Amino acid sequence: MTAGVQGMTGALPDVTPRGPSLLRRVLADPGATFAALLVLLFVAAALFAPLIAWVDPYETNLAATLRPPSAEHWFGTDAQGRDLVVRCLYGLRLTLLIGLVSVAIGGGLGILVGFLAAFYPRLDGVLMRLMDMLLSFPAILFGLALAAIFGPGVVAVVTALAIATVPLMARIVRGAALVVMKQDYIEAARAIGMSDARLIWRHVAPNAASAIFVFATLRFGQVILLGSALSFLGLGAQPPTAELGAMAAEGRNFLFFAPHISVVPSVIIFLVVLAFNILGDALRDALDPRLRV
Amino acid sequence: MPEAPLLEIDNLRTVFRTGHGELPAVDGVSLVIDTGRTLCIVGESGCGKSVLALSILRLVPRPGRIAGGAIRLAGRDLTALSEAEMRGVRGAEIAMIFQEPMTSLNPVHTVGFQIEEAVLAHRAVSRREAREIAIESLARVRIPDPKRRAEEYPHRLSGGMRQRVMIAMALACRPKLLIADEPTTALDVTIQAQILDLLRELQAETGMAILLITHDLGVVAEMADEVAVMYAGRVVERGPAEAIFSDAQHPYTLGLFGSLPRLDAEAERLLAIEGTVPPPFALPSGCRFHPRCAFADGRCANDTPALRRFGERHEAACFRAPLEAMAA
Repeated sequence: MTAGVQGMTGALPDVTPRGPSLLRRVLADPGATFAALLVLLFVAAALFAPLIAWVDPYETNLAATLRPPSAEHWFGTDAQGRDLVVRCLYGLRLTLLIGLVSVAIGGGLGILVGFLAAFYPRLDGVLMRLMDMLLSFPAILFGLALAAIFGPGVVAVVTALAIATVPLMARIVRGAALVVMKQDYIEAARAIGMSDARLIWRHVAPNAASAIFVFATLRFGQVILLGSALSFLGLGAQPPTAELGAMAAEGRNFLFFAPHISVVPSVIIFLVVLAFNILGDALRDALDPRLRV
Repeated sequence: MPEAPLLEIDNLRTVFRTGHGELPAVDGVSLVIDTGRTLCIVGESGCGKSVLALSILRLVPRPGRIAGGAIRLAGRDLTALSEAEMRGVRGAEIAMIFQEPMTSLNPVHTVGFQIEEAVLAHRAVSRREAREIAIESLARVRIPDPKRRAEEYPHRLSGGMRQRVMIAMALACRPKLLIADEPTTALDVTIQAQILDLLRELQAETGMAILLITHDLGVVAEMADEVAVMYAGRVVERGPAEAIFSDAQHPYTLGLFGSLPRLDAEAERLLAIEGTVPPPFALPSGCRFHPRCAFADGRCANDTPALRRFGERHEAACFRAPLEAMAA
């Protein structure tokens, strides 16, 4: 909502703006600016991968296998002679998509569970004990189990990561919602006859939004790391699919004479996770009213 | 028989379930409020005033619940309504304002938006029409430049302004009864007077009834048509404001008002009431006030006094009243 004063009479002294925007506050930190630029770069690269790619990421060239980085192949080629720049572009695309979908599904369910638990004390015990049960399994174990049931693949990875995200998000949302619901304005809103659904949507959700936003950003970085780990273990994307974790796994047999095959995708994973973590921290600082001057 | 009063509370009991069993916070309270009148409920902290107010709206927080009695709004028993029907009553027929204007508004929405939400909860109007009603409501509570103020976030408004916004929100749907729970306690004195004046003016304009909860006898003197004095969950005295101020009968009322009965020997001891309101898990037997009462005798500790008439509509629950008779 803008601080719209357009069309107002000039009877009152002009109001000062509401302080710098969120973006401006995040970008005040040089580290966060760097992280934001990196995220932007990765997202753009992933989005436009098919437009940027000059060769097919799956086109093999047995005459040029295991080539180190050169002017022709900046990141070198892999065991099948495929260009690693193009494969990394496509790998990034899939990796980010896995992260996005699993955080969206897991986070969305977590938000729902968190609000229900906070709002209906009757459900609280049952729902949160269920979340505790989920929390007690590591994500890798979910991945193993799902890969055993459905066969390894991207769907198994996304499902495992989404399930692992639900309890974390639910806990955060429940906590934030419980704090908000103790506020006087919730009682005031009830006293004017607002329904529960509207109360959640209008009063609880906006006040919990910053916590959700920050956690989703941080979780995105974690999920990418976990997803890559699952792919590395062979539970996720299967060869020849270009996915960063799977690519790192493919190169591990050649680590001594062609290290770039594993190193390049690993460095990209590292940078993506780092960028999202720094950005998440910066968002948390910017959104925390207690840290606001 | 004349038509039903606007609000009639009949033998209301609100209890809280705790480790000590079910404890009564409101214990057999009966009250009547008529259209256009102001009833003040007076008493110390912890005597059940606020729980009574929340009971009327059926917003008693868990583990509290209404355990008995009836609350009739124009003859309709609110305790028998479904939760959805009750939502239709809150805000539309009975509205409430709270003690803390600083925290009763959501900091993330503009005040205009919050009043719109109150309107939209009850009336099938568009967002644009709701905005017009909101601006109108802000104008009614004498907020200057309401169109622009509607765009403000709560943190930009002073306490007095926020309480005006709360009143605007409460009155946006023109309720017949406004419950005001210590509406001026958190405000400084000059602002208190302004808010009370505003409530009186709005009452004159709209003919609404006001149930005013306070422990400030200055507020009572200024606002009340009727007064009900509560002690430990019960009404110990009630009647027209003039009668309570000039001819209080219950020793607790007398102690609250610091007024002196014509009993010279005990006069000094009445000025301050020793001790505090007993907690609901340690209620004394008989008259709940007897451990603190200068006039108590053996009967007060054993039997519970019922409300007795002392004048037209003036009742008090005390065996010893009228105290003047004791001197005779």
